[in-house]
Amino acid sequence: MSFRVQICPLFLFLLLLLFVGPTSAAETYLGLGISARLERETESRDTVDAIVPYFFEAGVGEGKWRFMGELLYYNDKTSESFVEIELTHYEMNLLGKYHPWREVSSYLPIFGAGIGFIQENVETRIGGEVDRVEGDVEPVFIGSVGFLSTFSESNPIGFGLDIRALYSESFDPEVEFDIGGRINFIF
Amino acid sequence: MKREFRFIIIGILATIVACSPSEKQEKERFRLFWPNSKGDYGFKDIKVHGLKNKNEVRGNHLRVYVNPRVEGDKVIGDRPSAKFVRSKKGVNVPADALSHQMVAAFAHVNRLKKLSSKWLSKKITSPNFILFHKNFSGGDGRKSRNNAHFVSSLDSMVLVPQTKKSKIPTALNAGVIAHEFFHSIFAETIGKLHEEYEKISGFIVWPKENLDSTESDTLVEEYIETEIDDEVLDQIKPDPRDFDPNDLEIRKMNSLMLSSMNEGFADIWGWIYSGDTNYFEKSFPHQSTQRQIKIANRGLIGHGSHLHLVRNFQLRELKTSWYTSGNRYANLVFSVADLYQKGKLLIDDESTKSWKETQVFVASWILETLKDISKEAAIHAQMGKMELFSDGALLYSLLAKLNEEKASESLCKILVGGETFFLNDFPSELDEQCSSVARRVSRRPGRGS
Ligand SMILES: [Zn+2]
Repeated sequence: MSFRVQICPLFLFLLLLLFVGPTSAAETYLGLGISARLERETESRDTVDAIVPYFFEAGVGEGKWRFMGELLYYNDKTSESFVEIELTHYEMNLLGKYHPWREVSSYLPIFGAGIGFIQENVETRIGGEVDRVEGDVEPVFIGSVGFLSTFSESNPIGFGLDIRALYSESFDPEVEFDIGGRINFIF
Repeated sequence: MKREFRFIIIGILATIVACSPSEKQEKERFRLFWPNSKGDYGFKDIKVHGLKNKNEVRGNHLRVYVNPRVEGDKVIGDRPSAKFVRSKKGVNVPADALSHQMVAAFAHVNRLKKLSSKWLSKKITSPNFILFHKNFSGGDGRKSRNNAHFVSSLDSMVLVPQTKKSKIPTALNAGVIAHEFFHSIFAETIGKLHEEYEKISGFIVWPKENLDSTESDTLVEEYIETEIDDEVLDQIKPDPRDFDPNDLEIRKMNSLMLSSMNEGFADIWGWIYSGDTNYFEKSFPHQSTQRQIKIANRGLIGHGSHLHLVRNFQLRELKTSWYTSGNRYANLVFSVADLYQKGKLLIDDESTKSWKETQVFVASWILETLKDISKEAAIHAQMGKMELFSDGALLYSLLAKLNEEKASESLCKILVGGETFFLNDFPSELDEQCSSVARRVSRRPGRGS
């Protein structure tokens, strides 16, 4: 990774600052979610398998716009002929979402786009030896379409569903899909 | 308000630019559980050559399939999808248990092709497939476990699940992979002879199934059960040379000798590739005693010992005798190679040899032996009669390698200190050179020069 990724954390920090302390008109919310990420099975490219990441999100909403940061995690353990591998996946995503028909109905689609950063670690156990390797940070680009129930201070719990396409050079193929559900709380 | 949102948008855009992917790095190194030159395993960053597509674990002449179907001689399966995490050093770390084994087996087979081609001065392209198969069986309905196979009709190495814990899983064991790999060299060298022999003379050298699935239990068991029963065994004459040339027994003996050589030499290939004499034990501790290649010289195959094996072993265990009698060949090759490396092979030559020279010496010796047997068989075929193959070929090809130099006393001790060979086919030159070494068994003259 080059210079651009070196300065990436700085920009992330600045971006997070923008989320801190929104004005009174904006809604600040927290969310919890679970999703199913579709990946090709190792045995066969022609079949897909679902991995289940959990995530936590924090965001601000203003009118038709929503901006959120997400922390996503999953863990995938495999064992075959006494080769044991544990993959730990961390992902931080920043998304902007636009809800063009919010006034009509909250059940009409909301569109989103964003960028994320994936970091994966691998722990391999073979023949009594253990090897832990930290993966490099890989950027991921996200496009999403979904539904989000309206929530406000008077109606502080909301639900959402998102279908996402994720693009990263580290994926095989480079696009993966993810279907996630979330519950949001205004505070 | 609005202003703040503008900031957020600008912030997101700047972050996207700052964090967008940069140029692709070289991705050819893999983190694998890999042996060093002494056969000790550890995690290392290994360059894997010939990998055209790492996720499909595919090269030009090598593909990996998981649980494929087999239709006739064809392997039909989906392309796999191996997963990797790229480390900070740019190394591909297999992200699941199967991916690790697929890449490691690919890396070993590809290396074996390269090295074997170098050792034998001949391009080796087989096998073309590595199959990870949980339902593989020799045809008896029992699923194979804790084993590895080579199926020449499919041009495939077959790796089956391990259920017994061992130090090194089979798919990662360099020596075991090299053992199976050798069967493809054997099948190519001897398999061609088989077809030729069949074509010219109409004789069957040995049951085709035996060759096609060298380690297929059922096929062998069926063959033995239907064709060698106790009654037949009792009729086996003491000296194989007295067999009727058209006798079925000759086919059986040839089959047994070739299968033994196939297994013995394969065990040697495992050693010259891995540099490890104990590789077998690392994956199969429960059956390693008969497979030691580094043991004090215990003499060559005794006169008629194959017959003893046939008699003494339970019929069902006859296959085991391939390994047991094959192990004698392995011991011989190992002991001679050891002398070669120490510079003690010839009377006048005392220069030690490098490991690379030793590998070439051993590999070319084995290939010459196989070629010698092929030639012998081709002559039989031309004459239209069938005779026993001679494992004396192993000594004739060694003699050719000595380049008319005199064998050292240590070599003589190995060659004649034990019992005689299967066919008493001992090169007369060696007989003369080794006249000072006492012989235990009198033998007939060999083929001469
Ligand atoms: Zn074998």
